[in-house]
Amino acid sequence: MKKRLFITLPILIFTAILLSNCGGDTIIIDEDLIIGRWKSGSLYEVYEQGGSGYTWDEADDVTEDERQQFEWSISDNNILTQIHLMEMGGRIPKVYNITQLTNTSLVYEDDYGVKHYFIRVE
Amino acid sequence: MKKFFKVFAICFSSLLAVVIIVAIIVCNVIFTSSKLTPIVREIAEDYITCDFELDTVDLTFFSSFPDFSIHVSNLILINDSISLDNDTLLSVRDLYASVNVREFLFKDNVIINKITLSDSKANIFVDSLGNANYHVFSIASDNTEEDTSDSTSLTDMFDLLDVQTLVIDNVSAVYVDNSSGINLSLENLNASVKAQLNKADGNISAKIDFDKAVANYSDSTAIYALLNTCKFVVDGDLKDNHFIGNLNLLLPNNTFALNNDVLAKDIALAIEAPLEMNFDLLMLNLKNASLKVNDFVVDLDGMMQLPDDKGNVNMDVNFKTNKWKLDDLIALVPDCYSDYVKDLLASGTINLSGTAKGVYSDNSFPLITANIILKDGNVKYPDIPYTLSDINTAISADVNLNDSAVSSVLINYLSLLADNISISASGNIDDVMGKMLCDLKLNSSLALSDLSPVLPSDLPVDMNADIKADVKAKFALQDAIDLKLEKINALANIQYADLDVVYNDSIKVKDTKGVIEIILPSKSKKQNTLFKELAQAELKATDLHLVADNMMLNAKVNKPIINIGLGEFLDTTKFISAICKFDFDRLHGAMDTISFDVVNPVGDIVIMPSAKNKSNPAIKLHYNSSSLDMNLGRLLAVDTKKIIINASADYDDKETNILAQWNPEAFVDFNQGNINYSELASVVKVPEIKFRFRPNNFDIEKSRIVIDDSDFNLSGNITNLKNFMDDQGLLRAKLDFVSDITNVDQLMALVNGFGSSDTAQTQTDTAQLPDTVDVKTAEGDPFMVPKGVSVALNTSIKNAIFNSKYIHDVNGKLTIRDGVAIVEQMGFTSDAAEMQLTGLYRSDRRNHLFCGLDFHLLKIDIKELINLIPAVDTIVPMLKSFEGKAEFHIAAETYLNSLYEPKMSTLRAAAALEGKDLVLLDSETFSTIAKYLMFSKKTKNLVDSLSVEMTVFRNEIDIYPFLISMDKWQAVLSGRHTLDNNFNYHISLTDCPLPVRLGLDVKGNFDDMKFKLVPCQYKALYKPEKRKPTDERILSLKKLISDALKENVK
Repeated sequence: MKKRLFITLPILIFTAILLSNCGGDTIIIDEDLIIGRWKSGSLYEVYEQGGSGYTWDEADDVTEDERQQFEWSISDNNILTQIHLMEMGGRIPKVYNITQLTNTSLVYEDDYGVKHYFIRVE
Repeated sequence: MKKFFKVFAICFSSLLAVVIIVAIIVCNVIFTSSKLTPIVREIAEDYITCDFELDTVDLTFFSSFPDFSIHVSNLILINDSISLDNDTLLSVRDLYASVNVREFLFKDNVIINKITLSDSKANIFVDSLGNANYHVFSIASDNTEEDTSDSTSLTDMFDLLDVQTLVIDNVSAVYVDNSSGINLSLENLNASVKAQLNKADGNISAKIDFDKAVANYSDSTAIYALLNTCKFVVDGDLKDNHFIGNLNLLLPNNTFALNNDVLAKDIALAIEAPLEMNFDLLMLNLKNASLKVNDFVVDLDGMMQLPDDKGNVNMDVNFKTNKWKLDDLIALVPDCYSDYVKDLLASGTINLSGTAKGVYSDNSFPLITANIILKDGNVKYPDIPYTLSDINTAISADVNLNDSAVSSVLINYLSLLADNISISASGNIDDVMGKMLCDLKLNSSLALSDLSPVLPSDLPVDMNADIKADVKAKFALQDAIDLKLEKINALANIQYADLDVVYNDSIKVKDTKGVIEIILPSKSKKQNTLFKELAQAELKATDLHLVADNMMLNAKVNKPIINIGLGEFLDTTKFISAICKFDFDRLHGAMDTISFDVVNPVGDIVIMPSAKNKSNPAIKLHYNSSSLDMNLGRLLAVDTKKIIINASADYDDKETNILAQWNPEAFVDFNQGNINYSELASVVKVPEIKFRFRPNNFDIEKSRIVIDDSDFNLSGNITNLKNFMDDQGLLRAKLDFVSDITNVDQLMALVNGFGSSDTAQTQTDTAQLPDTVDVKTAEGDPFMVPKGVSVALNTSIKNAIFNSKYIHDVNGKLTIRDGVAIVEQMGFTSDAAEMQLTGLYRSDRRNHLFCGLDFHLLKIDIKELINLIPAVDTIVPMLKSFEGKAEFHIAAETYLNSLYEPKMSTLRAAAALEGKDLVLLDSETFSTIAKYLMFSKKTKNLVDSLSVEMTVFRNEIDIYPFLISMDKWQAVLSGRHTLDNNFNYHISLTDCPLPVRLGLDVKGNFDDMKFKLVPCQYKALYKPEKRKPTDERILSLKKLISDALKENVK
């Protein structure tokens, strides 16, 4: 029994270390791919060159003309920071980890594990 | 003696016998017809140039005793030198010419002193060239000359005539003058004319009659006259060139026509005139002369001089008529004019009398005076809507054609009845031939209903009142026609009683009695500095009652005095000028659901030409009343004490919007007003307000308004009205709101629900959205902030009640600018905090309303903060676990739908809370946390400092890591909870007496809270030397949030 334990425990620890290393890998993304118009259900986000962007949600009877502005930046390769600009003067920072960014899809996730899935739209 | 008579008788008889014998011998032996006829024919050939015929000529004595007469039978003059249908100029059956025997016997002159014509006919003709057929008599000046033509003078022939008696029996004559268009015919003319004139003495007796005379004149004007059975008699004696006699002319049946229009038919003319004629003075005296046309008699009395060398006719004649019957006068109207009078029924009698005195000449006329008396006149004519009866008038006229200015007419009296309307008048008219200067008085009494015949038949009005009208007027007729009021003096006093007028069964006016006075020129013209006041009218009523059913108006006016001044109104290049002054004891009534009661309204309203353009109106109003009480159903009730309104408007037709067109200006001052609006829970009291409105400005000079607990003064101005009306600019307002006490809660409750009628943008709300999107249907009626206005309200409130809390020194600005309402850095204090608020509400569209605030609470008691802003508890639930003073900053914004529900996708907020020396309250949650983290609780857990930054993004509320220092313990808290009350918090114990640094996750919701020990996540966050890049980023974000929030703190 002890012999089996000594054999299997290192294997499990190694496997766990291996798995944990795999899960914590930082993906390499092409930041430029984020430029464009993205849609998640009725929610739209638009990332423009120069770090400006805006968002609106048609489910709330909001049109693109009535969008709300934010500033965005990507740091550390995949850290997406959105600073939402309030008309009243406040700033709302939101920080996400980009987990997927391709020509057609964008996935980011916040520190609380909430994931957001977007597809590129024209 | 007897013998003498015997001898005389024998001698006379013998002489008579001798004369008779001689006469017989002369007539029958010496001058027999056979001898005399050739002699006369031979003589006649010397005098008559045309062909003639005669049967016999004989001498008569006994038939023409005592003269010898030459009797020519069947004398015919024939002149065919001028073409005629009938070439017989004259035919006489018997012509007797009596010869003066004495002249014949002793002077060898053949003088004819009597001519008798019997059964004669004459045809006298003048051709178109003026050649007449009657130039047939001549006397040769030299018998040797054979020229017997026109060179002889008729005068020579008539030297043989000394006719003292002319007898004409049955003569018919025709006179045709083609050169002048005259055609006369005369039938059966009989005349007997005897005259013995010897210079200044003599006598004359003439009787002329004929059966028929017809005259035609057919030159430019056609004149026709037919005289039947004429009798003319004149006789008299001439002594010392003074003739005294009588003239009688009787024409019982005559007809006259002009241009084929019969002017008189079968009328009788008669003249009976005793005559006195002084030939030396050429003066004709008429005494009781009578001129008669049918039954119309004019008696003439006086003298008239025949024209002197200069053509002057001096006269002094009185004339007087008998009673002329109007109906008989109308019967004289010629047929050609009968259409004008065919429906005229008139009766009554007219007497005319007067004089004509003075000289008539080319440049002078006699003075004429005339008196007209009309009695018992009655007139009925279709064009006159009344039957005129009992017409009695006496009119005198002085007519001076030499100087019309002194001609005048005096109406001594005139009275008549127009149906039931009694009218009487008197007065005089000077300068009748010129300006006709009238000075008249008119009195009338009538029932108002009697005026209905002069009103349009389709005018739906029923009028009843007893009217008495007295009018005095002085005017020139042309001025009256031209309505030149400034030149007319008039005073009309119209009294009415039991006035009851109904128009169109809907508008009713009643009054017990009243007076309308019209004055020309206006008495108040000197007081009127605005325009030249010409006429004035004043109404003094008693209890005027006005009802307008279609307007649902029912008004009563007690003792109203309305004074109207009227300016020039005929000049069409100018707008009319008028002023209406009113003074009522009381005006009360109702109009639809509006009832009003005004005590002593006094004022005036002026309308006059605009100074810029005389054809446009300008209006001025001055009004004040002691009190006003008005109700608009149950919707609105307004009552005030004294009101003063001064207003004006100046119309400009070149402008397009109504404000620029009228340029209104108004000053309003009233006090002790109460406004009770049904949609307001409270009465708005206005102890005083003064405001002034100008075309581009609205200035509230002073006001005090009390609403429930609020008592404030509002002043300031609203500008740029014109540009706003022209859509060329914002309506701007700067108002000062100053108050000792204002209950914001009450005011907000008061205006809650205002603006619910705006539906303008409903259709656009969902137009841009895809069909597939499930949009919540908006059904609310949110407040839409007016666009095109810019209102700034500067508040200075010493004490305000907000959210049931007293706040003090509320100073700041509330702005509404083009669809955006902004509370700008409003600062105030309360027992709980010093506060500064900036708020923004923007109604982009009905279902997309922006609401944002920037709120700073300094030295706020946390417990009071949650009471003041309950939403804080939602954002920071843990806050209620603390006690003490803190500083709280929050900026939040979201879009709302029409039901004022937040659109969660647009919700943004950032808040920062900083506090020191706080107390962490003991609770079950805190006990659990303390148990897990193994720190000891105290009765009073003091927190040295607290600095929390948090954000709200959509439904995520993120609490950024913050440090709590409590005794020897330090912990960092962070986490997230969502608006559905699920949370995920982490507590890192960063400094404590324990050897290990523990972390604790708290997840779930308040009903199902899960605790789990985890590694300490922020052990280096507040230890600069050990911080990781992640920690640096967190802190920079916290600073970003905090700095942005505090930027606006004053």
